[in-house]
Amino acid sequence: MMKKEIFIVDDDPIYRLIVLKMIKNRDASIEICECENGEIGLAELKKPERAGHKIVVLLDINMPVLNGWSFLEELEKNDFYNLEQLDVYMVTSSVDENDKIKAKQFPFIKGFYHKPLSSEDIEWFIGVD
Amino acid sequence: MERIKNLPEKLTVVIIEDNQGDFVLIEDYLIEKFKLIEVVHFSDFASASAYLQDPESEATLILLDLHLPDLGGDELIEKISESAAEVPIVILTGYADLNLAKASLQLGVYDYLIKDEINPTVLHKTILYALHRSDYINQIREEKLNYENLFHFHPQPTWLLDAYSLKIVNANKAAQIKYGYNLEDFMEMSFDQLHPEAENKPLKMCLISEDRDEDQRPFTHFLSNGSEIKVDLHCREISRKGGSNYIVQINDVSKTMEHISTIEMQNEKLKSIAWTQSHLVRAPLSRILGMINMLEERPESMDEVWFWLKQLKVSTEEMDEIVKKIVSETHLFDKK
Repeated sequence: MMKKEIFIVDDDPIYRLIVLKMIKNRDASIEICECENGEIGLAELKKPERAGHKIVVLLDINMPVLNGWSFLEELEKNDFYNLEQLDVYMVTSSVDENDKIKAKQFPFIKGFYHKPLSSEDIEWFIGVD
Repeated sequence: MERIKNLPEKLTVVIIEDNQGDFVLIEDYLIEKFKLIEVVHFSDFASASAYLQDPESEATLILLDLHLPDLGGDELIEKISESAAEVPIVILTGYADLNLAKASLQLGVYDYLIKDEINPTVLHKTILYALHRSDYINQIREEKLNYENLFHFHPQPTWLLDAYSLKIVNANKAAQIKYGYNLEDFMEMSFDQLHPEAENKPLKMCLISEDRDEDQRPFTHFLSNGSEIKVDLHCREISRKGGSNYIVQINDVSKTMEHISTIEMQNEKLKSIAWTQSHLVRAPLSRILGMINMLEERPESMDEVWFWLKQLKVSTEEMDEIVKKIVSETHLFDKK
């Protein structure tokens, strides 16, 4: 089995802490990578030691430096990571329908969630393999 | 003939004839052919004119000799026509004046009778024919008046233009009031003078094509006081003897456009409020909900509980600020 890692790409530290805690409460062994924006997220993905990992990305849309959409575009354009090993879930506080429509353009987006994440959502992310 | 039916039952024929013999003959013929007839006789212009100008006088038709002791010829015809504007006139003439009689038809005379050829039947027919025609002409005159009223008292500003030069030929009351020009001012102007120069071309296109696309933007018009209004313009070409006219009507849409732009501005504000709702309010709100989820997971220590409570307070205050901002934007909305 591939080693699994969850990326929390979001500029809100409290949100990241909440998600981190909720995951750790359920499975302390899962590796979590916190990224403050899309640029940091991409940099982390590119690290060679992650090459064989299964990565679940919980991606916010509105972030400074590199937002969620630009993160996805960069990911599509450049061969940063084997997309088959990557599951992206959009997690946003916005309830704007346009975001949902836009998300359909990216085939590797596996789901669209509104904040806050419920315990069921968290358990689903842990269960992904 | 449906439309010609209101011939008077009783005729009053005014005969203006200085030759007593001719008069008696004609009077006899008239009495022979018409059951209810009154004949009024004058032998000179002055007394005939006095009678005709008296509003109490009756006159259904005038039989007029062209040579009276005090006046004759064209001038006589003109003066009598003036005295009795709507009464049909039939000229009594001899062969010697045939050309004058024929020419008098141009002056509005209905018909002429050659004295030597008059007989009861011809006289009867001539009079009936003249009365029918007069009735018909009066109807047309009334209709013309109705249409003129329709033009002049239409609540929307309306003009009649020469189709070639766009010179204003007529302008109704509403146009005079709205634009602050009287009819004389308007008649000195060309219609394109009401527009800014840049609109000359589209204006001409509009006049030629007659109907304008609904989505075309309105035209600008200047009033006499220099202020501008926005107008929708409608026009039709109408033909007249020797050329054509445009009848042009406008609809002042300045107010409507102002309202539309207010509504559009308010829509923008509404969209911005909706965006704020969707993005800014949801951010702290979802964080607060997330923290409640967190607290439900039974934190390990009191310190942790305190930490989350403090964070809850921060997010709640953030949300309060955003709500205040929305309220102030809504106030801005009210003022506009």
